[in-house]
Amino acid sequence: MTAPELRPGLILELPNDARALAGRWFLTADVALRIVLAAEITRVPFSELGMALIEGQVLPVLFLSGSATELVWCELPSDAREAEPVLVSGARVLASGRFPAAGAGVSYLGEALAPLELGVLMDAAPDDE
Amino acid sequence: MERRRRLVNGVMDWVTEQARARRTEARVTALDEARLLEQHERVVEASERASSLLGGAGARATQQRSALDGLRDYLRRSGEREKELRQGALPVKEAFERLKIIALNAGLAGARLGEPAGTPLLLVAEEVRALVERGLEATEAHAGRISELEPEREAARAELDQAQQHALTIANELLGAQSAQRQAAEEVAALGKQIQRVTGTDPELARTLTEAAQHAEGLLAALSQLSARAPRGGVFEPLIPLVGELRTALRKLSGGS
Repeated sequence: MTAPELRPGLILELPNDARALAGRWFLTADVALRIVLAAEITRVPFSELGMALIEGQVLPVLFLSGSATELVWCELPSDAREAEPVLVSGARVLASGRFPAAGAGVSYLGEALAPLELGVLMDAAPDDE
Repeated sequence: MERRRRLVNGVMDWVTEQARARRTEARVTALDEARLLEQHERVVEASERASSLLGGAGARATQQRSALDGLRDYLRRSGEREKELRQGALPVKEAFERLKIIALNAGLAGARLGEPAGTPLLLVAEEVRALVERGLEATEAHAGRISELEPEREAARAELDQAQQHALTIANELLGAQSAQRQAAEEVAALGKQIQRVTGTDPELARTLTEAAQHAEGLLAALSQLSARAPRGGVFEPLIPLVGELRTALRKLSGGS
């Protein structure tokens, strides 16, 4: 009997104001590098995006909800160029480590969690004008 | 006109005669006047006692107001302490949040390292994260309990305001009572002078007269018993006429009672 596959990453929780994204998600360690404290973020008007100065770098911020939480420093893989750094705001990090695989996502406390596709969310970030 | 004047004079003379006749019928004695003066003295003493009691009550009211002021200061200081406690809890909460992030990052790093290298780091990170969560919950609960003090303090302040208002009212009423008492004392003193003027009796003499009358009544009672019980032809027989005269004199002194 083979040992169950364990996937490294983070368990995130999004509040109700995240609408369709509300609930718990799995973010793979291939994308999530580390967690940083919430910083001064400048929001781009009429957008789900913003900017923040972290450790001397100006990084884009993706708002998943209106809650003020810690920021997850991620790197989105790109075929064409270097991985694109982005900070994820509005998600509460519940746990970090290795979690049993469940389909495309993982199982956490008996619940199957889907993976959070940040690349898709970035591309789909509304740019209301 | 002349007739009218005679009629008015006649009526006035008749009223004066009637009043004089009533005065002579009253048979006011020196002892009655002495007792009037004695009564006046008792009124003066009662008035002085009332003044003293009002003064004491006024002093207590002032002490009470000072105590209430002290309580207000205490509530104010308590509010400042609560603010300090609330602010003191903030760095603790921030420290726990930083620790939580460190633990999560350690867990992520341990997860990336894979087994077996990352396992110890994972375990330590998870343990620290769980403890930090408990610490954060305790800090939140502590802050909540501190916040509960605020409405309680506001309620106490409202009650204190009411108590201070009542104390002020009492103090003002006491001041009014003290003023009225002073006026009453002045009126009683004026009454005493009026009594002295009307009766022509000196207060010291009146006091002595009253004491003598009391002794006279006692002696009269004793002599009455003696003359009733003394046997005929005994050693007391020569004294009986003297006792009779003495009884008559004492009866006059005590006002004929």
